[in-house]
Amino acid sequence: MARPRVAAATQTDRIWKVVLPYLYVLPAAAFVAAFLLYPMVVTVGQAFTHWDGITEPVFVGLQNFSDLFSDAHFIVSLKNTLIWTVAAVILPVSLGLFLALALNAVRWSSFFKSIIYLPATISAAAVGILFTFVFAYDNGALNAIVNAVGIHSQRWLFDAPINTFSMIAAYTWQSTGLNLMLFLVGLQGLPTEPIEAAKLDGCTGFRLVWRIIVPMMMPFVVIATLLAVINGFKVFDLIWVMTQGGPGRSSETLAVTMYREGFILFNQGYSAAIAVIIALAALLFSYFYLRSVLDQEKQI
Amino acid sequence: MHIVKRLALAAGLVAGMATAAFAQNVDFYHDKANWQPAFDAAFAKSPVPVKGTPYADTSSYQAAVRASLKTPSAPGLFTWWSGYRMKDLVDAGLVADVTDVWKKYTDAGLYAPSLADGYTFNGKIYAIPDNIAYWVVFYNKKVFAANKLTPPKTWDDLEKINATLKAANVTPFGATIDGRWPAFIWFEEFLIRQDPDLYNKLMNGDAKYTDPGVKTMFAKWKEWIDKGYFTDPSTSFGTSGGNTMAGQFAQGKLGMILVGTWYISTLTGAGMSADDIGAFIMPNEKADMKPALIVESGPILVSQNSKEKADAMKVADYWMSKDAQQAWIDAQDFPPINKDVKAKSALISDIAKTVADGNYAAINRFWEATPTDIAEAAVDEIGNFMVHPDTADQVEQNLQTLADKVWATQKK
Repeated sequence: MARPRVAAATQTDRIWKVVLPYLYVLPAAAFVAAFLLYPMVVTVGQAFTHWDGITEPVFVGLQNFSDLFSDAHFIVSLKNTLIWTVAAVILPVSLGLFLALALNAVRWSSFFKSIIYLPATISAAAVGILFTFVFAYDNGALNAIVNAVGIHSQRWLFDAPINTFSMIAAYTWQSTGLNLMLFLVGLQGLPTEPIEAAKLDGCTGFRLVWRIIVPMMMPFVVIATLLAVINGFKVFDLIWVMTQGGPGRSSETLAVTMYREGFILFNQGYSAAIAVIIALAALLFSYFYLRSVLDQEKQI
Repeated sequence: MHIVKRLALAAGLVAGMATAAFAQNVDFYHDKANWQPAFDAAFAKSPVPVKGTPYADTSSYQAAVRASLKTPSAPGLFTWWSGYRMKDLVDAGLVADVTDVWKKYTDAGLYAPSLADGYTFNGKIYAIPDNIAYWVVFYNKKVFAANKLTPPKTWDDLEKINATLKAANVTPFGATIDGRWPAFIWFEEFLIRQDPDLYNKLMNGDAKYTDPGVKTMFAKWKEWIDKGYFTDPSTSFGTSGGNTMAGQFAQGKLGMILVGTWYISTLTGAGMSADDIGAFIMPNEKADMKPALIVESGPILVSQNSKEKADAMKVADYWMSKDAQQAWIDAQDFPPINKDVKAKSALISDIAKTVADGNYAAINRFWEATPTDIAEAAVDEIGNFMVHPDTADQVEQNLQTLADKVWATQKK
């Protein structure tokens, strides 16, 4: 009589063991499905339609994608996105790494680190408003400085391409601190033996940094670069606050063009097509970049 | 069983009361956050309580309202834009016909029927008026007095004022592309002062942006820019934080601003005493032209699919009454639209009297008068011209290419 009961209990335990892990994952999986996968699938579907948001969508196949590449505003937007992406990697990441190396072992370093990190705690919209005052034509701080050295006032936010560079400067001011912190964490975790050994072998100063410390910091550089590229691709809030992509749509990036098409002009199918392109570009870059980095590490 | 029945009855009663309590509010969405206290004052005596939901950002507001309109949870009432900007909502059957609400008040002679023109589609009216604004020139009385100037009667008078102010190191007029949309202000104004028929035809796709009249207009505009009659086009206007233009006006560095009457509170907010602000309507370029001015009409719409529709219609009726309108005008200092209502300030009262006595033709604002796809893209093109005035030919061509594309698919 007892044997079948034990067998049944064992079978229930087995099923429970199989099911239990899924139950743990279920809430998170449901959340991801509802708030990430579902909107993603809907957006991809919309990219193949003409839809104004209130009437029924009309299936148009690949027309939105073919229209994009004959749209002069999209081409400008694509160019600006590339400028932003390159600048977002070169400026905040390299500046963050340089400052981390420079401040790692100086007196008062925590004071400087805090000062440089502070802008990272402000929202991008607030940074945008702040720098709108700095770059203002009539009474902006920057024009006051250039006037003082005898240069005429410039339209920092109203002439292309200078407006894109001005906004990148504001972005750099804000995002350098975060990179600095990331690299400082990396520096503090480095093993001291290889560095001491290199010093004993006479490798000091710039050579020590370039040949020993920077290669050891590569995992952090990889992460910082990847984040910077993705941030560069999706930059929106700062531009929206400072120029709204203007004048004449000259400072739009893909994310701004997507927003304008979707929520101002209500070409939501066209907007979804841009969203798909942004996502694909960021995904492909992340994949190939990480794969190449991992391949290099394997070879080492 | 008896106890169960009683409990069920009590639960049903409580649920019913709760539902009734919640259903009593009519939601009112709008994107005019700083008007909320005035809305509260105007709705204070509404037959159904009104719960205002202000949105800080216009584009997210539009997206939220459009997304909700197909559902019963749509707000009972919401502010919108007239003309082409509400046409797609009407075409999609998302807003309620309020012709009967209007009829009650127009039959009583309290509203001019022409006020509903921008809300009328296929003979039916789909909105009640939130406000109207006359687009006039505000001038700094102290600056005018210091330079011995009086408001112009003719275009030549205006040219003399510009020259005098410029010589006195005062920028005559404010003009900006800050926030994008202000780019259309001078486009429409130069055009209606020169040829209002051409403007109306252009708005409806019956004329071209490359027509000689438009070229003449851009040439006149460029002449004024070259003479330094305008502020730099990057001057902030209050659309994105700062407001250099209002500050310059208050400080006497800027003589005049062409804008809707709703801008008075911005000017007084910038430190300008209401007594120092004067207003006039721009003269036409030629004396024999009919008097005209740009009139902006902001509507309130009732959602067709909202579960609050019936109550919203009662609130709409109340909104047009003298009680609501007097409270609204007292709070906002807008031009009165109900004939029983008195203006709050002497400045608005004078402007309203000038418009009424002068038999001015009301011309619809560019933003609402032409299809949204054209208006939105055109302000970027016109903005390009304002920053680079030598690009007029290219801008005209781009505008026409854009108009051709839109009119090819748009019903007139």
